[in-house]
Amino acid sequence: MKARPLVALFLFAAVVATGWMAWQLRSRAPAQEYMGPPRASYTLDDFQVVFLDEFGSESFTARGPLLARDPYTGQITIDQPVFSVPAENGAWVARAEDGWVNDRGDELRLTRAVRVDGPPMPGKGALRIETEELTLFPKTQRATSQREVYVTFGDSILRGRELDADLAARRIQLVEVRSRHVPIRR
Amino acid sequence: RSDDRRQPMQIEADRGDALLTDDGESRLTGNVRITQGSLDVHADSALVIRRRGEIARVIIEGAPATLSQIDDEGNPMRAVAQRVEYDLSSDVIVLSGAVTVEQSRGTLSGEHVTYDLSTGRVDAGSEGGRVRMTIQPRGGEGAP
Repeated sequence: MKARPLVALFLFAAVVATGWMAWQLRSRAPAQEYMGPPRASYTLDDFQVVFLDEFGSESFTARGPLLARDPYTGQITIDQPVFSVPAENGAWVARAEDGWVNDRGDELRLTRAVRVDGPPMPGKGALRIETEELTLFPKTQRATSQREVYVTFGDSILRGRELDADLAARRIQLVEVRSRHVPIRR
Repeated sequence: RSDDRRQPMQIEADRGDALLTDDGESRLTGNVRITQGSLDVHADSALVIRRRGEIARVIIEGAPATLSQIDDEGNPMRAVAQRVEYDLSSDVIVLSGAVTVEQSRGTLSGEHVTYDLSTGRVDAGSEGGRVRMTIQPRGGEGAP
């Protein structure tokens, strides 16, 4: 009768040992490597780049301290971009903290401290647009924004939302618009 | 007031479609409100016309449009009309379409009324059409 407890003890030890070995040999999930943004296919420091349209003429020019191109999507991100879009009598100049260009180069997105200045034109006072987010389409010279927008022109300041601007015609459409006009004192 | 015209003009509306050139026009629609000094206008739409970079005329329409102002002596004026044309260079407002102008001196109704913002002078009937005027007796006890 004495042998039975020994056998039980032996079997228990065998089960523990087998379990421990199985635990040790378990297939460990690969350590989660940090998957940051893909490495840029190329980056440019303190750059100026002229983007051409399908006919080879200037669509817009971008300059800034840092440009990086995504190797998979072809999209471009720019720190503190200054975009210049050719226009009658000069160019529309758009500045922001962050910039993004789509792969075809026909859509620019600007975010944070966005400012767009129109070209000085005889008979047409300076025009400035300020907001926190703006999308610019160089080919059609159109700008849109869903955020609150301030438009300064001559003696007037317009404020509103849902901007749809035809920059070439200097036509501004807004909803919830508030405008203030200060008459020039004579 | 006579110096209303030299005050900033504020315009509010549901929607705005502005051509920002020195001789452009801006159309505002939906709950339009225009204030300039003591002048206060409520309407359905407004067309703001610029000449040489400055606002020259504002054409206001409503069903009706209402306009109120306080003259230099502090007397209130209230007007109702379907259309109001405000010429900023001449300081004259032309009201047309079921016009009623209420001043402390009395009430005037007609189809076409001209109101001089700087003097408070009212002209009616120049375009034909009947004019009805109610003048409060001095002391204002009651209508005659």
